Amino acid sequence: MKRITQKQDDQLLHYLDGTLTIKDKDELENLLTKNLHLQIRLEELRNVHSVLAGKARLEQPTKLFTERVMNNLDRMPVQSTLSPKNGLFLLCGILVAVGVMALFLSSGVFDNMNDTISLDKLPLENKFIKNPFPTIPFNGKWMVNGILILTMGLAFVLLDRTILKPYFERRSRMQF
Amino acid sequence: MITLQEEIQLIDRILAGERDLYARLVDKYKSYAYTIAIKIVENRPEAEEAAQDAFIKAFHYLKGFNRQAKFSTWLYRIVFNTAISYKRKNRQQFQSIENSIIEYSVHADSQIEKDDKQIFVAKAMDKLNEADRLAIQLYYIKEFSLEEVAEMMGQNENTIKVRIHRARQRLADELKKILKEEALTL
Repeated sequence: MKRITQKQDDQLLHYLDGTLTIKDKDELENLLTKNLHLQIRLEELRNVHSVLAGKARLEQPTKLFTERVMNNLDRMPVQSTLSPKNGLFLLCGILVAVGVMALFLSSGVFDNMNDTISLDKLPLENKFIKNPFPTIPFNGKWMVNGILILTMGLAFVLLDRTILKPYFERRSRMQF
Repeated sequence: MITLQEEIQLIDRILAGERDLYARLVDKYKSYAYTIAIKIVENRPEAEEAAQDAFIKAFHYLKGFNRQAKFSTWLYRIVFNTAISYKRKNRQQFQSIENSIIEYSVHADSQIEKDDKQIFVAKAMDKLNEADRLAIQLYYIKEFSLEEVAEMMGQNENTIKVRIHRARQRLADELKKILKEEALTL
């Protein structure tokens, strides 16, 4: 079977939509009289076109539609508490904070923050306490590392809510 | 019938506090909004709810409406997004058969051939992805322009035009296949 080009296929659809210029329409009609494959294809497309056009109509909602809308006008639409703009600002702030902390960490600012917390020094009466309290080692570097990890986690959640989720929602809306 | 100029004046008055006038906008656009919603959620009560919700949202966001744009296009975009959210939310839920849209019912004998054609096209439509199917359905409703369909779906006009062309070509190909299979089973 002689293949119909994509351009011819498109021309046939324009012909059915009535969007061809008079010159193009005449040319296509002339071609149609000579080409049986094109005639068959036109019929196939016309079948689809006529069914779709026949089905297409505006639907009518129920009679109480307007009344219901007007009665519920005060109902606030559900809105995300964090707008994308605010979320982006917050995300930038968090990333800057994480960057600064990482910079301090790498320069060794927190390396000397090692100490122990001795509970024996607490001002408690020794009447009921026989054994000495243990001492708790304190490492500033580890603490900052922990805060850094928590902040990174928060930044990831924000990244997901403000950028990734809306982006993928938009994409799936195009394909849905 | 409200002209576009009157529509802008109406919006100004609504924003100035005459909220009852919003009913005129709802009356003008309710069937358009409902049609968009029904094509997306494919369930009448849900479509009505989504369309109503969209009008309520539009009322609350009316202050941010850009007067350079057409109110209808802006509203249709809100309806489209609201209906998509409804569809996502209720995708897993059971759909009652009484509420679902049954496009093809039994008609008189003279209609049989036409009905068959519709059934085969509907079968072919199932092979399209949802966005193509929706673009085609909205394009054929003469009350919506190609520009409006494009704006609604958040794509440019040429992309939508190509999408509609390709989808119709695919439908014709699918229809040919289905008819061949039907002929073989006879």
